[in-house]
Amino acid sequence: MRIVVCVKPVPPEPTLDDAGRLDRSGGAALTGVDESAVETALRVRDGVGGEVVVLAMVPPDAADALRPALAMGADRAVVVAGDALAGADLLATSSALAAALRGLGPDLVVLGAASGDGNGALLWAALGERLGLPVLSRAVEVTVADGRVRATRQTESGLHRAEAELPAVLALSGEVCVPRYPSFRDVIAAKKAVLETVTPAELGVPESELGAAGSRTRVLAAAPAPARGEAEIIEDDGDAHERVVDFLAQRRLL
Amino acid sequence: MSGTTPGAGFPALFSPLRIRGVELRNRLVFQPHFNALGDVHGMPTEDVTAYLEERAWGGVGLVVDGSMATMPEGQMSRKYVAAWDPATIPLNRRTTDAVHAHGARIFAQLNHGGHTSLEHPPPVLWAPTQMPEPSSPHTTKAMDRRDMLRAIEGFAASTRNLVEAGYDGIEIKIAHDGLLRSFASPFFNHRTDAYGGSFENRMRFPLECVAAVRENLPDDRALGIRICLHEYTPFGYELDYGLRMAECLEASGLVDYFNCDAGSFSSFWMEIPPAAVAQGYFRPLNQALKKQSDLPVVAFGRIKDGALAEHMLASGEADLVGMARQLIADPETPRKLEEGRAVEVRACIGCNDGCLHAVAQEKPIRCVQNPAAGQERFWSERLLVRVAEPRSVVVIGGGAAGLKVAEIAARRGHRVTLFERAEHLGGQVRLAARQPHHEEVAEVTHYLEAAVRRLGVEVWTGVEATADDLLELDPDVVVVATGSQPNLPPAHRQSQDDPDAAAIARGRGLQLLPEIPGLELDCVYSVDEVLAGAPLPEGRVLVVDAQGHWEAAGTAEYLADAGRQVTIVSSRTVVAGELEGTNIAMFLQRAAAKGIALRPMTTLLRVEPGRALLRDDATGTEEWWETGAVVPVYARRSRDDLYHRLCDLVEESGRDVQVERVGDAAAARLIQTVLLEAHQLAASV
Repeated sequence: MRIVVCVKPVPPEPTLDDAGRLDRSGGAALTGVDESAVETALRVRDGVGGEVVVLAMVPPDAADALRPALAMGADRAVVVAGDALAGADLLATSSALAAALRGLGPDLVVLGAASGDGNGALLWAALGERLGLPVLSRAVEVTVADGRVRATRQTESGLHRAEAELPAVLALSGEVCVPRYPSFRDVIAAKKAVLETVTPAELGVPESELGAAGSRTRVLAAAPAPARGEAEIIEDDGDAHERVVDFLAQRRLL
Repeated sequence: MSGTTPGAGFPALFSPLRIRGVELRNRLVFQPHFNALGDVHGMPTEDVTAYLEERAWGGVGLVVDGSMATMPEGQMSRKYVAAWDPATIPLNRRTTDAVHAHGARIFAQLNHGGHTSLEHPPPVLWAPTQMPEPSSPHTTKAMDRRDMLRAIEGFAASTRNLVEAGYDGIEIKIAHDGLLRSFASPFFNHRTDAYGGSFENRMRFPLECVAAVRENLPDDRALGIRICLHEYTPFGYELDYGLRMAECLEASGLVDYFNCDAGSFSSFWMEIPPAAVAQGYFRPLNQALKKQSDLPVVAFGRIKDGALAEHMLASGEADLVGMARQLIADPETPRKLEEGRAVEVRACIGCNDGCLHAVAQEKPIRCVQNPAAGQERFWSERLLVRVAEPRSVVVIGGGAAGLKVAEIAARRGHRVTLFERAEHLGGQVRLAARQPHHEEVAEVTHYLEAAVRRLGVEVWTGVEATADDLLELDPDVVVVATGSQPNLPPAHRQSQDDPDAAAIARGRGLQLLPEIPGLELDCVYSVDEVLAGAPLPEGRVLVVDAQGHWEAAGTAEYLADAGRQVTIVSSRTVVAGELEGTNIAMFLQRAAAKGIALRPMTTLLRVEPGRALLRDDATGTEEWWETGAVVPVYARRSRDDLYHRLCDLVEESGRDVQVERVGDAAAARLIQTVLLEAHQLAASV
């Protein structure tokens, strides 16, 4: 069985350049959501056998961010990289990744809920559509047996249990499990592992459908989260405790 | 993006202000403080210039240089800059030029030391009335009128010299130490002549000195007063009197601004409050003066957070915000705030270990958080150079030392990989931060962790590196920063969770175990176990303090806060005697309030289940002591097995790998020493 995990390394403090694109120059890393997806895939593989392939579309210098997944136990890492891919939105990204996935021929595609930067939470749906595969989203528990994937889905109205025939796309609901710590030997092996690279030309997709050329949305503006300087400071005139409680209650944190 | 708009989050902090003829680019003030960087003849050195220039470079609006002494009698330390001496003019000019070149303005603070001195023994101490300052055994000389005239001339001559040296203003200290406050204070001034008796008479001499400064100051230069608003002693004056002093000074028309202050030598933990005093504790004092005065007011008192500073300005409690220790810890604080990089600020931890502890002994100022403090000419982060040929640097250990090596090596362009065996970075600092009033020490590793992640260091947590496999990483440099562990016998329970990592060194005669029978027993708890939350058996807890620093004192307090009855024994003459002065004063007050018993000059000889044998070192008598648990704090042992094994492997293999050990893995020490060592190593790799 081949399980492909789609991940997106992002810098710890994502910023946008003047063109509204993510600046990915500063030490990109897998997010907890991605690590959780890798862990889920490893557990499925450890149960039913097969291999786990980690797949990402990243700038070449960010490819090393996939190595922690190899250290955890993924068997292969595939990087889709090339200048033609820069500036991709959901449409172009799904176009590239769907092509890469076709080449890999997965039985199960696993994704986290959303990327750590764009936070679109749609890529799994787009991939299911492009590949013509069933999609189980918002999964918190997963089992694979007898050619079927079963998932417990977490929704606003409660827990759903659903299943689909393989091959299928599985999207998780956040950090659903604790990723394992690798051994030092595994880390060394991962640091030495050769990452497989797929170029845009090898995808077999017209360049007009990739990167900025294939994108149909554009980020107009993005503002960072409010700086600490804009924090609300509550002065204690003897009633600060009540005002703190009110503050938390208004935000339904109590 | 809005976050990169200069000063976006801090509009009040980064608005200019004019004081008399002096335009300040923002509202941040580097507060005056003795830095002990002058030479022993009171001449400012290049270190003084570099120290102040660094803060101007970092973006502060106003630097206040000093205190400086106005005359030989009243020079609180030989290293106080001798402003009365014309020989200082070209040396001070070097400083003012350097500060001005970065767009900051610079004032000089003048102080006559009066009844206070840092020297042992002090030279003759001058005062309005003959009496020792209560914290000192040394009595004073009561000044006569000739002495007063000489003192006034000292202020005048010093002002002329400082004007010639290019200072934009003079600040006169009527604050936590010195002669002028002692004249103003009812407790210290019992004169019956024109300079004592009434409030007006007590203020007369300080006003004569202020007038002498104003007369010698060009019209466009500013004159300010650092004013102690509250002495915080049982016998001294309080806020109402401090405000009355300010009112009187303002009414003279000679003053352009006030810089707030509090405390005295008899309450010196309020002068330079350690972390046990809440941040912003003195805000009511600033507010009260601001409310009363029409002059610009500089706020003071353990303000380190940009958001708090902005809030204080925006809500009108002050016109400027003074910071000393925060700008010692991170000279670039103003620029980082202004450029929307507040998350990169390295916070002062309020420990006083590097700054106050050093200068109170007339030693050059240092800082736990900032290894370059006081030695900017050699270790400023501005001097770090990117390497032409990046090397592969592998750091083993994610405590303070390993993180510092990783930060500096990465800033220089090396490829850095860091391994930490625990799930979290931070090492011993994580445990230290659990001690009462000690949470701010966590800022040390918070800063470093954020820095290494920002710099793209490859960080692996939960991964224990082994020497045998390490060389497979093909490193150019391996830095072993594996820290230390409590020095208990390998048979002790701690070795189940934290295996003895010093067996190689002990086998080679490089390390020893303490020779105290019974340390392997179950009733013996390591500090690390206690702070990690291990439940202790019933009964009294005996903490053995062979170190004198927070490791024992803070752990005893942690246990007392958990409701335990605690006794600390130490074979030294004072329990916790290595703590810095403000910290030990406040610790001893809290220990008394929390019922912690202290037994100095007492040595632990033996432990048996449920009891410990103690010796009174003065009399030599021995005594069995019932105790539920013993927490021994001896010098920790380096966790250096990995280092030794690695050195052996490198030698056997003949490979060209540079192996270094740093921090506690070399010798267990205080953070300040370890961070400097780590910086120096990484700056040279």
